[in-house]
Amino acid sequence: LSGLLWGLLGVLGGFGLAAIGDMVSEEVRDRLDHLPNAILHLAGRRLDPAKRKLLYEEAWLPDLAYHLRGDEARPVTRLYHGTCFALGMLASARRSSRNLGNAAPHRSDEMFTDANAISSAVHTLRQFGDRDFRFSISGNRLSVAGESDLRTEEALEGALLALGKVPATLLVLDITGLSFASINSLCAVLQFAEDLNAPRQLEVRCSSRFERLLLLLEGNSISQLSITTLLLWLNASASRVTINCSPSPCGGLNPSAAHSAVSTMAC
Amino acid sequence: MQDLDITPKMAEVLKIFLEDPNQPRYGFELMKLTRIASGSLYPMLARLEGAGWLARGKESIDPHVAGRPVRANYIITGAAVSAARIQLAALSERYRPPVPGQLRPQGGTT
Repeated sequence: LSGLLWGLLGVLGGFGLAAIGDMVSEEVRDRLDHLPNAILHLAGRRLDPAKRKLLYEEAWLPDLAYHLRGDEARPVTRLYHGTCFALGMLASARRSSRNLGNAAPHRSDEMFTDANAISSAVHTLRQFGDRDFRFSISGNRLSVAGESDLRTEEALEGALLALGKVPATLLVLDITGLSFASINSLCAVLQFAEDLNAPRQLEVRCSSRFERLLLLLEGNSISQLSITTLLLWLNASASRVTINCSPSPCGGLNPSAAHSAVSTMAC
Repeated sequence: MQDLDITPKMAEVLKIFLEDPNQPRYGFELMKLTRIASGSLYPMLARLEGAGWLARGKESIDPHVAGRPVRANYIITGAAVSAARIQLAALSERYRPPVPGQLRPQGGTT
């Protein structure tokens, strides 16, 4: 009887030890899984606080998450790669911070190209980050708010190009939150609409004053009007609209082409 | 845009960007393509970004759907494309093996 008891106790003890072993293993695995993040967190703390968001939160952390996700099925590889990545960051954190610190905020005065459209927008916004202009893209919809003037035209063009990369037939530009737009900004919108290949279309959601402006720019042969005449006409017809005078509005825009591509909707 | 002294490792990175200047590149992708460790690559990207050679963008994913945060990507700026080509050519010239002084084979006749 005592032998049977001991045997039973042995089996139970074996199960208990196996269970505890599993729990310990899981605990260790969980803690080791967090090791790269912990090291990266330390690296982040070595950064200049002003650059921590830009480097640690926006670049390193997402890259580590992506890095680890790729090795999801292989815990040892994941641990090894993640730790190596994070240790590299820890060793070079100060250098990264210093190197980025050399950044001179600049606004490119070169021709705006598709290659750096989005990034230029980001740069411009960073430079004028505390200004009112802001945009966001959600699905096929670009929402723009604040003031779009000469300083933020580049950002607007970048945002439009980013919208153009969305694989949708109908693109929506929501400028109902826009309180001011230079004429060049509106021309950029029309130019963007013109550049869309059929059957892609741009739907502009805007307040009635911008709708009036867009229809005017779109439907009239603007090249035959002088800018002064246009300003006078607009001031007379829509007194609340403020236009930033520009020497060359809508250069190269074909109004008839734009007409087919743009539909406006007053909100 | 600031002038930079291009190192061989930096040249490797720039070469990737020049293959398709319109293509946004990610840090992880660059690590795989160039086999440069994170400790060297990321400070280099920061240097290039700081000097205005690279501009930063964001991955267009929904983080909730993807289950991970949005990654930053980099695009070479328009001005940097030509500057990088010139610098890479200069670097290549610097590392080009010297042409032997005597071009004619030994024992050759005029």
